[in-house]
Amino acid sequence: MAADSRILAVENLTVTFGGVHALNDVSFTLSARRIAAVIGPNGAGKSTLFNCITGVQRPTRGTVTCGGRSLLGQRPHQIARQGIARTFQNLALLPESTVEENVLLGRYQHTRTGMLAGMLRGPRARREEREQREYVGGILEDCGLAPLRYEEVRSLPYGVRKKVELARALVQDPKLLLLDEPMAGMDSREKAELSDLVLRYVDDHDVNVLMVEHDMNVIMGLAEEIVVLDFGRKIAHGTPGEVRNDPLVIEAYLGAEFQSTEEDAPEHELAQSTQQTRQAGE
Amino acid sequence: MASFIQDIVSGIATGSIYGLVAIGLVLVYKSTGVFNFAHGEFVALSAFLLTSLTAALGAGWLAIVAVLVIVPILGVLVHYLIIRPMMGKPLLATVMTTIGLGLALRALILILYGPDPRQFDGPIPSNAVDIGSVRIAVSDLLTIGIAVVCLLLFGLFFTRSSLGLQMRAVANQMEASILSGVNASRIYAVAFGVGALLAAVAGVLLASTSVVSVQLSNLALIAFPAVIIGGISSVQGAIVGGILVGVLEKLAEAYASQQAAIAVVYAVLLAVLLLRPQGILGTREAMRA
Amino acid sequence: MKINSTFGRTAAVPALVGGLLLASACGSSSSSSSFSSPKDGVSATEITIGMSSDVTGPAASNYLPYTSGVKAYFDAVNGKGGINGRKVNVVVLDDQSQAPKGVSNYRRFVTQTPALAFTGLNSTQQSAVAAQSRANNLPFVGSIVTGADMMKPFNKNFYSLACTYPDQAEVAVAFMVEQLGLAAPRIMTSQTPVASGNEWASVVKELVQKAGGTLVANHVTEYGALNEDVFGRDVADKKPDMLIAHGATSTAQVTMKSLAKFGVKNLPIGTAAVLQDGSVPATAPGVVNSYYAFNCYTAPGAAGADGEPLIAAAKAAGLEAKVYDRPEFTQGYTIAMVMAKAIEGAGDRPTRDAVQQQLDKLNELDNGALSPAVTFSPDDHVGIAGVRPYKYNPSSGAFEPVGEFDDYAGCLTNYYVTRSLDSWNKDCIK
Repeated sequence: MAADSRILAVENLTVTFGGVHALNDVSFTLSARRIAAVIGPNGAGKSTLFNCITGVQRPTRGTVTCGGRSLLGQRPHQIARQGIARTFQNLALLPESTVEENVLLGRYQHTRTGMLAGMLRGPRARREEREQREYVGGILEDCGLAPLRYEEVRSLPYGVRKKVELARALVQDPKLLLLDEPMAGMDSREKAELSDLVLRYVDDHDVNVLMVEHDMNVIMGLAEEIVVLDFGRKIAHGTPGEVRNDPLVIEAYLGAEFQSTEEDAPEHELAQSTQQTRQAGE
Repeated sequence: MASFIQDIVSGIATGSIYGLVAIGLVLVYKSTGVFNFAHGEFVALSAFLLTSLTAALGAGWLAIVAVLVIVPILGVLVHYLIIRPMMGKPLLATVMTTIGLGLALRALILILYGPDPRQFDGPIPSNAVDIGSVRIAVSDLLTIGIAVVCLLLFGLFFTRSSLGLQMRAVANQMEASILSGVNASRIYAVAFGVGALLAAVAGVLLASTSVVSVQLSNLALIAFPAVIIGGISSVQGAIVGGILVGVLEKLAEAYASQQAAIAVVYAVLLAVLLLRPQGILGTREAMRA
Repeated sequence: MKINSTFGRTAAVPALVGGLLLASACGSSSSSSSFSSPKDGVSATEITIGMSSDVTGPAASNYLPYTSGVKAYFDAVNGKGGINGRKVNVVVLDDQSQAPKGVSNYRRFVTQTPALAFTGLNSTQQSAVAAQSRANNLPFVGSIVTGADMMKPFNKNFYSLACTYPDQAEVAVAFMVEQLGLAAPRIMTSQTPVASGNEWASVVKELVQKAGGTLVANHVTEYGALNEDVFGRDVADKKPDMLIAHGATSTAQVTMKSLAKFGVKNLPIGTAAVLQDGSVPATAPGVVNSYYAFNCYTAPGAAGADGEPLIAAAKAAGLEAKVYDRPEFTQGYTIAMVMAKAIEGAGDRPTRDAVQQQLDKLNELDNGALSPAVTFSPDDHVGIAGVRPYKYNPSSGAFEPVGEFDDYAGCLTNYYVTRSLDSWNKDCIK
């Protein structure tokens, strides 16, 4: 089932660092909605959650499954090859390599040529490499990065680098895309562009997105489903409307001011909410 | 003047070999974070293997090819059998493992071959040519040529091939690379294999121009300063460092003494560490520890 | 049997009874008395001989044959029932030519695992233990080299069974100069950075000047160097009439490679005893014109009938010719023979002091064609006086003695006693 393969389920997830619970008995299942968000103050356990999903952090207790298949016990690159891609809050790019090279890195999991054959560069390896470069070219086009394809990443502005990072995750053709603060440090125009990009990609591909983001305008505009964490515990889970009116969430995170100003924002009309994000930033 | 030029050429030739060894060290360090203290033993092992393969196969050329195939496979095996199980353990433990591996390889060489130095009569000629008043050994020119070709090929591999890109990625952005689906363990294996290949090339060159003895392992001791002087994070730096050390050594030897040569090399090392801790071509951000 | 004073009476009695039973059991199985002296490395049934040698290090090609010679002799002795009923246990510790390892090995045999007598160490290591060896009573019977610091000032515990470097140099310079027939020879020297190398270079320099020649340059070769290109280039530039070399097999081979690289041809080479190794000239055949080593020991294969017992003992020990057919093997064998002779002379109660008294009395112990006779006296511990050239034969790979030891006796100044080279002159060969 295509839909099933995108469904992420977390049960009783607990991660303890020397007695401190980074995550404490967190359970949730993301339904087949397309864009979900995890929010919470700093130290709420958002990054730990991402690390458990990608296999970088082994939980103390609990399970993580994707499409019904347990992710625990798998090595991170195997999880990645199962269709889970992520971006990093602090850019994790190769500054001295080109945009294309950086993005190509996400594509090697789709290479079938063996390592030795790849090294010897036989005709099959060459054909395959050409195909991968074409695929990368397509994504770069979609991201508006095509003109910068052969530029070194270190010469590019921050906002563009963020897009390069996103493109690297997209070429993996993910089933589940984890975005870690994709909007951090961007100006409002860039935020709008990136939101559009994510929406367009989700429209065209069979993919679920789970994002951590601090910008509430972006969250409310993009996410159809929100999980709220606070001090390692899940305090709320629901649609933006439900979450926004949850008294626990208001107390822990959102604050009364936010509730009043955003009250009349439309929830599911995505184009409209993007529009709104744009206006709110200006 | 003629003797000065001769000493410079000798220094560049010797330094090219240091450079090959130093790149192997830097490559493995950069991609795995492990400083492989058994690298010198790989050089010595390659040289000894060359002597027995020459005896077995009858032809020096054939034996050279065989060594260049076998030793990288050994390097990959070392990764899977010894280094990989150490992954995730404290770095010091892994480094100690490589020291232990070095001692074990040294013992293995002594058990298999005994303490006597051996000779390899390879295809590299041992005569000299006169260029004007300067007499230059053909083997030095060949050594420099082979080292340059190796360095160019290695540079192309590292910057142009997909494996090279993955290697750079794992070295610089490990988590992101793995989460992009790169199999880091396999990349580490390739790094050990390529490192061993460079050690094998150095072993073959040394067997042809020097004496095959377990002392060749000590080469790593002089390659370490080359690595540090050039910059531990820089492949080009390793080459520059290697050649610089080779030339310094020969000039110090010629104008002072061989003992002074070692002192000069380490004095330069100290100066570099004080003035430019990241090495001549190293970058500050890439310094790990 | 010594009983710790803190032992309770009840515990001490069974221990004492057990000890006595053990002692009497051992005594009955052996013909010797029940004398034992653990602090001298002597039990009722066994004698410990200590040895520190380079078994796996850079000079192993020299020290391994020596070690094998010592062991092969004592194996043969043990096969015939040992010395006065006691088996000899040779304990060899590897020092890899490193000074700290040599020092700790030596110390171990002084007290921790006491030995009745000791042999081993290179000249630098000997310098490092020279003071200690004067302060204890462990008989130190030579090594393949004798360091000057062991001899100056007189050391009652050290017995030299090597031809000293001054002796080798005195014959070497006289012979090489005579061979070339040059009035003013231009000579280069080489040495490794060890105490004996410094001694070699300075004595050769003085002798060359006394012979009317010039020392063009001295090169210090380093263990483990990849090449000696500067040395090779210097020889090619300065074109000396000959090279008088000290070193180790590995450094000498590296040097030969570098000489070949710079096109050096037909160079006469005279070397110290340690370089009596065919693999050195064979490394670069065109480079060498004639290769002589100056030594006081003859390899078993070149000593005729006198070498046969050594070859038999070596074969019994399963050694290959490349290990036993070397002068160092003869030297180790001779050192063991001298030790055994002294231990045997000490009778039923061998102690370090008794062994020393016997060594001091050793007079004209004949060694046939293997070496000059061995003589010690209480105030002269230079046991071997005599050096002759051995010429390398490229077709057989062997070194053949040139003349008898007596032919060169006139060249020796007995430097460690006279402290002067004044009596030397270049026309000293008979």
